[in-house]
Amino acid sequence: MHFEIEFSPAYALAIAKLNPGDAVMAESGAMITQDAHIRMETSASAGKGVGGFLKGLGRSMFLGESFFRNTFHADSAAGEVSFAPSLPGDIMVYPMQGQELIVQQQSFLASGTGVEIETKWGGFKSFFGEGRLFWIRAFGNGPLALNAFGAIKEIEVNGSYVIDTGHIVAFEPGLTFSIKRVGSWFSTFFSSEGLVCRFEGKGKLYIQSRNPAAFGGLVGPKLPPRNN
Amino acid sequence: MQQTIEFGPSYAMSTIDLAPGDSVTVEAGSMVGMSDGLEIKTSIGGNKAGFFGALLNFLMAFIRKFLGGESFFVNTYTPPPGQSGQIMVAPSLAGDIVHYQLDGNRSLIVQASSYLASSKDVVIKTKFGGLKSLFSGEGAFWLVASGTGDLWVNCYGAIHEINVQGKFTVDTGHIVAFDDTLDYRIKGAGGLKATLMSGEGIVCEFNGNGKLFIQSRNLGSMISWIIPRLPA
Repeated sequence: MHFEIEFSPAYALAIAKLNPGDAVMAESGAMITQDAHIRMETSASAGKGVGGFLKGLGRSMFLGESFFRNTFHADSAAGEVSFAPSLPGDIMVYPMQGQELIVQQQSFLASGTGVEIETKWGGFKSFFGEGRLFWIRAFGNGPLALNAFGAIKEIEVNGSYVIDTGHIVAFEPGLTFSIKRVGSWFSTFFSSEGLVCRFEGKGKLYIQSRNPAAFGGLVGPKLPPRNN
Repeated sequence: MQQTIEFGPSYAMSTIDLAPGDSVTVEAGSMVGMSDGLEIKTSIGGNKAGFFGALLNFLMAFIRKFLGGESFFVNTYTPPPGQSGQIMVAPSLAGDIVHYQLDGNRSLIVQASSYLASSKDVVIKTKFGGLKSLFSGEGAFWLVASGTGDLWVNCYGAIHEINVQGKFTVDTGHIVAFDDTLDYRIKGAGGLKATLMSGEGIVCEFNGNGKLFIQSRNLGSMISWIIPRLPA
């Protein structure tokens, strides 16, 4: 199974090409097209058992994460399934080869079934950084398709680099991060940058060229108020 | 100072490399990433000094925010003395960025919400566009950029540069920036019936010789499209 990405960087589409017997797993609602013979199986995304059920329920209640993931099977003949995220932007394929990748919660789109996805508690420092309590930890083998709001840029960090938290897509585990104020207290409140994320170490960092929170903050006030 | 713009025309982002002694001023909220150690100074923006100057800056920034949609604050990033640095900047909306070199001879008039960044010798002044500008749908204020240095302008959609020679008409919602050598006149799209029914409404007629930058999309139109689709 491999992914082909078309229409980068603004309205990217990920096409999963499956050999007989292959399968591809994706976020609920991401499927755009599929060959007629593809069999879809839905399962709870947080894992099995009561623990998994409660964790998944909590995540979907508080974070808007979908409770379910879908696995698409090609079975006896080769086939294609295509996926796209809701927000406009790019999709990249990261080849997982036994190592880990930490992914921003809304950036997971689809993956081969050899890739395991686990939600990871980010700690309160993550919360203050972006309002996201959970990161996704991907590990295993196979292609991993990640989506972003905007274009994706790869940065090789060797030392340290600072990123506005709303722009983080994913990073390799060789990097540690700390959330810090962008400058003085005055700057932190008025610069509109607020808290930023400082990455240290050696590894690749993937960022998106637009920030969903900033876009929401600009467009939201132009819309009529919600009725409730 | 070196800069590159990637990912245009939809999700453009500019990477600015600062040499020792350089600094760049950017609209608040547009920093994507930067090398560690850059000093940040948050201020209101506006170049007049003194008490009354500061008060005028405050008033202009306040008005700019509510009528122009531009952020109230700007941030100036400077690398530590003797060191170089890097900053990546991007606007909030989908669209393009254009880098304009100011040579001290001409000013560029920029739509208020299109300011993204400028280098330290560029002077940005807020200019009231007049009542006609208020009706243009893009806010009552323009910014006038003069001096020598770099200016980064963003827009909603792709940027298209036009060399105007004589007369040229543009839908007001699509104006990003233009040379100050161009005169402009806001008028209805045609007669009264055309203005009301064509859906074009108000247009801007430019006259003269100079550069004009337009954007290929219009945020107001997109919002008008979304609003009837929101839940009741």
